[in-house]
Amino acid sequence: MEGVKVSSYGLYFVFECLRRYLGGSWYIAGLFLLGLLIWPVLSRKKSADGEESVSTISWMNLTIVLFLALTACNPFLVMKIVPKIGMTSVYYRIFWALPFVTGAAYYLTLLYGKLRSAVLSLLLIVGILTASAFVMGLNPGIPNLTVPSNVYKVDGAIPVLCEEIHRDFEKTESFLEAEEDLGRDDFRTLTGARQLVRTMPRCIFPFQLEFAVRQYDAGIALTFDRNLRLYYEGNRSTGISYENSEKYHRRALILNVMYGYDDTASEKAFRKAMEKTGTDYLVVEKDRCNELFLNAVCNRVSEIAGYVIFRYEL
Amino acid sequence: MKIALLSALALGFQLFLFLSAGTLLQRVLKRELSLTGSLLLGYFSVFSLFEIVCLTAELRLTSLTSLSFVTGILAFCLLAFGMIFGISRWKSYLLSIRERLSLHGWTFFLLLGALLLTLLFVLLYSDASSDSDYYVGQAATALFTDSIGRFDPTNGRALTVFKPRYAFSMYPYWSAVAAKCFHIPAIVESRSIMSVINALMSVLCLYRLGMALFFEVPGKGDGGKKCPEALASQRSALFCVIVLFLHVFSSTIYLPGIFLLTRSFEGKASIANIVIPSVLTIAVSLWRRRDESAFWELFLVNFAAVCFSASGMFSLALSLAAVFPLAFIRKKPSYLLGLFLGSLPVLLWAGAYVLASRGVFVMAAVTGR
Repeated sequence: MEGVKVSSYGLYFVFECLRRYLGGSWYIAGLFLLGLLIWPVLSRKKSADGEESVSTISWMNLTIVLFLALTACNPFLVMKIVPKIGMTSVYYRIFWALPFVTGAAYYLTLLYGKLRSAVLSLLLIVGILTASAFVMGLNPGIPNLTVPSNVYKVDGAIPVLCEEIHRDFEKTESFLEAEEDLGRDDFRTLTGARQLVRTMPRCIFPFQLEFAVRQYDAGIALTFDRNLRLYYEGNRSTGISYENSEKYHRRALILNVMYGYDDTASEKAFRKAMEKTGTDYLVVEKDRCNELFLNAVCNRVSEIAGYVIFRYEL
Repeated sequence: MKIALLSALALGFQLFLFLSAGTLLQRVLKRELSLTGSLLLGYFSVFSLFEIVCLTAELRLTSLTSLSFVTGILAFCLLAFGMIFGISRWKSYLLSIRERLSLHGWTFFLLLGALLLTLLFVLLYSDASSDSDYYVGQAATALFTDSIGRFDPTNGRALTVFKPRYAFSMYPYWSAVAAKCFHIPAIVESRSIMSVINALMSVLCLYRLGMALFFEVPGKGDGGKKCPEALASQRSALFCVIVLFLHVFSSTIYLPGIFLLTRSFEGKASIANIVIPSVLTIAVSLWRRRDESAFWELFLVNFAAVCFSASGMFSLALSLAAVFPLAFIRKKPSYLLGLFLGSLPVLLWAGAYVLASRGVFVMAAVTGR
């Protein structure tokens, strides 16, 4: 959870995590707790076969909630243990063990067949769910659904950009040398593995493409790893700080220059960063590209699908 | 078109493999055949088996080709034995399927509609999160480099040691193996085929949980005319639909709903939507005294959880919360032993993770310089 740390929230860490976990869907937990509290009472009034089963499940749900409240969700224990085992950013997953959704659905389903008329029961369930839908927010994935343009479910620019980079890279001397070396050493040794890596062009892509590139084409290497790139884009969910990392600042300089964020960066500093990181290609959006600088330092390979590809050579 | 056809074949094959493995296991355990139970048992047992084979291959720095070969042979054996021992059971099951479906009444169509919509959604949805970079990237990297976990999937660099957090969860390599065997891109296997399989398994898990929850709970609206099995089937179907509805209105990125609909190809989505409901089903069986020998199933589910993701440890939290107090309530110390044995895969994983991350032992990703 981005920005939620034990050091900032102390004993309230668990409550803050739970608050953010439920967000606008607090209604689900409300339904669960309501069912947990009132259903065993309702069941007791009407003595019919199987009522014991309902109270058994309620006891089970209550036991799970209490056990977790005393152990894994105990603010005093969590404050001491969670930071030590490095689980702060993923602590919210402990709430998966709380049967909020399945519990709420269980108590709602019990309504079916509970009233004299099945139709009335069903109408009651539909009414409660409709009211819930108005109170709760929509799953964030639903508004983002788009029909993919290709079978790989990636941005249509990625296949053409990767193909163009490979086509260009395979003509370079560094690739030909790497290909010649490939297989000289046992692949299971570090040298052997690095021989393979040298046959891959190392690139920097715009943020909206970067994470999908290696999923589509693992033959492309990237200058940034996932955590470094997230950090550059201002995402602190990993909980790692790279402020004092030279490795990070070198890479950040390249991106700053690509987009013209840093006018003070010299050509020398840029060249040093490119060489130290081993970056071969830069892919930049045409309308955001710092063309003047990049044209002077790199070779413009081509312009495809609204992106410009630059190759850097020693 | 070729990729689409091969993908459909890969999907069908994997489902059939889970069915065969599950049928075989049900036969060995002398349990009554159920389609839902077979598919889920097969799913957990295949991933448990794959965890053992793949982890061994990873630590021995074996190539993906060799792993695919071994996995292929094992899959073939499971399919063959599953068919030999299961074909007569499947036949009799198919003959009674109409009767079984009719028990659900109108709720069957409601459930079918919700299931198809869910599957269509996960098939079409393309997730561009940084986590997919790891899960899909790992499979694509393994396929490209013909190795297992020896390269950083997020940038392609060669690793000298395996990262303890990821080294024990072999789930991404299942996609690499399937992609290799069916000659399809790893991204298609991971993001489309596994999404559909995992979403289907999630719904089956919910249905099974529903059957465990509503078994023998009588209703009043039918005037006592319906048999308990019919009512349980209808309520289970309705329960699944309500859970799916609540997932549609799960408005944060942390709730299981977002993992089901947008990130179902990820291992941790399987933890949230398959493993945890399965542990809950086992807990219901124990609390209801319906299946006192459910601990072996807990073992299998927890084993598969280790394969899926490091988040498998959260299934341990639920196992403890649901079963540990029950041992004291019922005064049954045997439950504690069952719980310990059932949770052993996660405990072993946690132990290995702590030791590896503290540097007690190092898992080298190369044999030398």
